[in-house]
Amino acid sequence: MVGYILLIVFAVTMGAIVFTWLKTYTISEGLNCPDGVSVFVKEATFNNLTLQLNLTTKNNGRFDIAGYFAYASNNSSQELAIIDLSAYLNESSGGKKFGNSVVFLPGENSMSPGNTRTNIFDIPSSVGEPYSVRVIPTRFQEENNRQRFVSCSEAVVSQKVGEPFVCVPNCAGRVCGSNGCGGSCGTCGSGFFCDAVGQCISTSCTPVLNPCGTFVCGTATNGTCGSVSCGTCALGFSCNATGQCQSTIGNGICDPGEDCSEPACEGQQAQCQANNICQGGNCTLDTSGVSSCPGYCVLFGYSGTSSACTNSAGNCREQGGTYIGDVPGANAGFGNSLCTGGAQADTCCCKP
Amino acid sequence: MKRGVSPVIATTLLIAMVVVIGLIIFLWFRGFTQEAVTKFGGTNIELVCKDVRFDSSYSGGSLFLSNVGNVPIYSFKLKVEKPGSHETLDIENIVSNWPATGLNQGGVFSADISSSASGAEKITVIPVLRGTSDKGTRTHVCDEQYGEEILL
Repeated sequence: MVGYILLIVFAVTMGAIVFTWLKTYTISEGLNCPDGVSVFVKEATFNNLTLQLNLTTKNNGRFDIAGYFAYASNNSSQELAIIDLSAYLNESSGGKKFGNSVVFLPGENSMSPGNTRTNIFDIPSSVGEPYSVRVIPTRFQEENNRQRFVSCSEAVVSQKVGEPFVCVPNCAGRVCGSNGCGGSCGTCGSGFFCDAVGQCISTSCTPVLNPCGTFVCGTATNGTCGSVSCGTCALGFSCNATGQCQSTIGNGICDPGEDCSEPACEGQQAQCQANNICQGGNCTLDTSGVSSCPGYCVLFGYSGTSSACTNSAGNCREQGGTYIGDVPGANAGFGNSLCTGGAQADTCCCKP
Repeated sequence: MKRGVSPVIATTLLIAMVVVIGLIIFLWFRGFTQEAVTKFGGTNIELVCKDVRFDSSYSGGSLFLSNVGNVPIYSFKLKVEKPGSHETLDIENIVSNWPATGLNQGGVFSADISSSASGAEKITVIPVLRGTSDKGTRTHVCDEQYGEEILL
């Protein structure tokens, strides 16, 4: 009788120990963002004079986000941007530093789909000029009744830093009216008004009936009443001497709003989407900073961590990856040329 | 009349032997199993390794690391493969500025490892995590499949 009891106690004890040990192997879902979280770097510009980096992000996903981790590189050969920009956040521009990230409102996913936010970062001169930025969106999520801060690593985006659009006030030949940048070139005294070309004209002048005539843009003389505006041209067009709008394509300048059909936009981002530049008249993927297969895969939205060189396209597919030749828009020759590990690692394999 | 041990003593001896042999077998078997190191309130650290997300790159003699996931990475092991040989190095032993707490969420790190990587063809960066066990805090080196290869 005692023997049976001891054996049962022994078996129960062993069972409890094994259960406790195996319990730790229970698979639980890790902390992850939902699919559909996505941000887009709408603009990343650096002003050499003020040493300010303007970063405009747009939530182009399906979920609210709280903010982002932002990193920069200051070297074109550096594939991974690791300069933590949160340390340089100018909080007066909006956003708060939260650990080593930037959040728009602490504790809240305040950036809704479609929203755009601009943050300014004061970059110390010792850091140098930012070459590229890398942004990882973040969210606050409820996990086991606790609010957790989650990094959405699958939605990481990178973008080259461009020159900022700097508005230069222009009052040349003008004594009144707008300076083109929201300011004024001056005001006219009593009995005078400001005409379209910034001149003060007496209110007792004599206008003509149809000063613009055939002009659809620019300015025209209005009798003794100075000049009047005849309209403005759409983006991509400029006003010629006869007051007609003409395309700016071919004028030797990559004007705002122009696409790659303008030869002067060669090598620039123009109207291309992120990671693309104008090459040969078309938007093509900018691979100038890519030096590895994972780096190339990242341009197509794949993981820079999981993607790797393997020995064949078949092996890649067996591992659940996508052979670079099967990735829409990718250049298999270029992708495979980044795999220089011999026959065992000569095929670029992208993984989510 | 035949003489021998009484039934009570025989039973006691039998039970004692079973218990002792059982304990010996249990202790011997336990040596085959690894100590359960857990993280995040009870998940085995081997399973946590699959949730580790980090980016790495190497250029100009410098290694760049960025923890983009939600699992703090305590350290890294670098498997440096050279023609005909390979060695595995602890990152804190080859750089002087490795943070004591490792790379937390969003953490980044860079350091010059050119002397260790000289002549190497490939570096595999393997994450090391820190968890708890019955005996206190323990580190765990993730399987190489959770590492990231950098071809030089």
